[in-house]
Amino acid sequence: MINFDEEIKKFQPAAEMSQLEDNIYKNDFNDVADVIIEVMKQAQQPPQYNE
Amino acid sequence: MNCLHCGAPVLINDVCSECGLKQEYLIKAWNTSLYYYNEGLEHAKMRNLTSAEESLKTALRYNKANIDARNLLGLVYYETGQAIEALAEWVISSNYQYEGNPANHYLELLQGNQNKLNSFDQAAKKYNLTLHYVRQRNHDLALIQLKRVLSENPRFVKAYLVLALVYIQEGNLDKARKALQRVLKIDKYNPAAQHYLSELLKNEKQYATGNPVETVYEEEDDFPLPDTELQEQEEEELDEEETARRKIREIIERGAAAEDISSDQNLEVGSYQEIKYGKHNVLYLTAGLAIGIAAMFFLIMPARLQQINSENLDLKASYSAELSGKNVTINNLQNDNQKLQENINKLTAQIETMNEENSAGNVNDNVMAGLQSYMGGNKEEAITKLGTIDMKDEGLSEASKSCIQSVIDACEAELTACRSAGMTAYGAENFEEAIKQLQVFCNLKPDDVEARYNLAKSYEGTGNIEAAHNLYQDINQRFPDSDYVTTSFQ
Repeated sequence: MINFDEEIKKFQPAAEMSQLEDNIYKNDFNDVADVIIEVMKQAQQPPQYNE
Repeated sequence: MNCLHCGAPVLINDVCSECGLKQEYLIKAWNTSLYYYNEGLEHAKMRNLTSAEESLKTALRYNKANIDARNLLGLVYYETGQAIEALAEWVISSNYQYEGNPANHYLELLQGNQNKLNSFDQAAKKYNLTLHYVRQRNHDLALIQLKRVLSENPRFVKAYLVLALVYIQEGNLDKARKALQRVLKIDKYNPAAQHYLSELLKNEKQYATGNPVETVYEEEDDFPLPDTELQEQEEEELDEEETARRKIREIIERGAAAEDISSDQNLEVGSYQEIKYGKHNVLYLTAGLAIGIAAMFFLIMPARLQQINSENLDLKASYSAELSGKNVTINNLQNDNQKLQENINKLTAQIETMNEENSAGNVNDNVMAGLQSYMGGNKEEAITKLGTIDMKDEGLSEASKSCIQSVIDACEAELTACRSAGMTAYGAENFEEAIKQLQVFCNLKPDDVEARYNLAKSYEGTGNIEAAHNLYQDINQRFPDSDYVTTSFQ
């Protein structure tokens, strides 16, 4: 049984030309290497505790 | 050896001197990325574009600089009508590696055709607007926008899926199925399209086998009922459906016609047979044409004919009035003409009478003047004056003739001189003088044929052809045996 409203919620707006630049910056996501580097950076920092 | 990630030198312990990443892990990540790229490529070759997209995205998670994976992802986007997303992927790919990158070629092709690019942009904008309309449940506007979107970007898979959903929502299952089939032509194993199609088929089978008939989609209830009332309502609906189904089975068993099913008012849920709108359209069109023609003949044509007839009658009346007026004018003019003709005749008669009186008076005057000259002893003047009178004139009285003859006899010598002068002048071709002399002589001596002939010749010489012909005719009539008879003038 198709739930129209639920199905429609799955559809996201398409990218427009005016949003191309933002789209490119957003699209340039981190890969595994970036994630590892980020983790290593965080590991090297001293731990911060909540007061 | 340089780091695969940042390009800095790698230390002896296989760790990058700059980013600190162990190259072994990076190589593993790159291999995984290549694995998913290969998987995505296989999917793309089988036109399983949704799966290909997923695999290629995973490949990029492991190595964002996997140019082939990124380029292929752009192609997959482009194939499913998402040209702007494709453009973004190729731009990023070109930034990672410019030399020898096929993404540059794709970008040139896409950016070289600005009209096409604008068309894709417009399609994306309209698609977003469509989503807005659909969420507002404004399905008519959504359908209009979707048709525009698909005319501008006919490979836009998402637009086809939304179109199918809207058609399903509107109950137009045939069109929904067509839209989904179009999606499956582009993306062979599109999960959403397959899901919608399977739901449609399931419902059709349920209708065909007489199993419970379910609504294709959930209707939003603005006023939700409490649970107990809802259960009661559901039970009632189930009872109604059960009753309806039972009746359908009975009718089918009896072999009754489909019309009997539709005529049963209790059966609100009809058979699932598709309505052939094409056939109905032809019928409606024919009926509309027939009604239109009938309306034209029974409503428009009589009014038009009546109008034309009244116009003709008006025209005829105006022409009749004009004609009668003209007839009156013609009668008046004819009467005037008749009166004028009578006046002309009267005046002509008066003029003739007066002319006769004048000529007689002139003759008498000339006779008197001639006689007076003769009595005064001037014979030449007497001859000249009497010479104006023609002795053949029937209006001349006998008394006048005898007086004139007496003078002629007494003036024979002068008349002979006059004749001689006329003949001499004629011989010298002095026709004016010849006419003057011979006219006098011939009037007084009308039986001298030669003189008359010469007078006629003199007239002819001066161009007075009519007078000459009169004289020739006179000679021919009175002296037919003479040598001067002339036939050439006739």
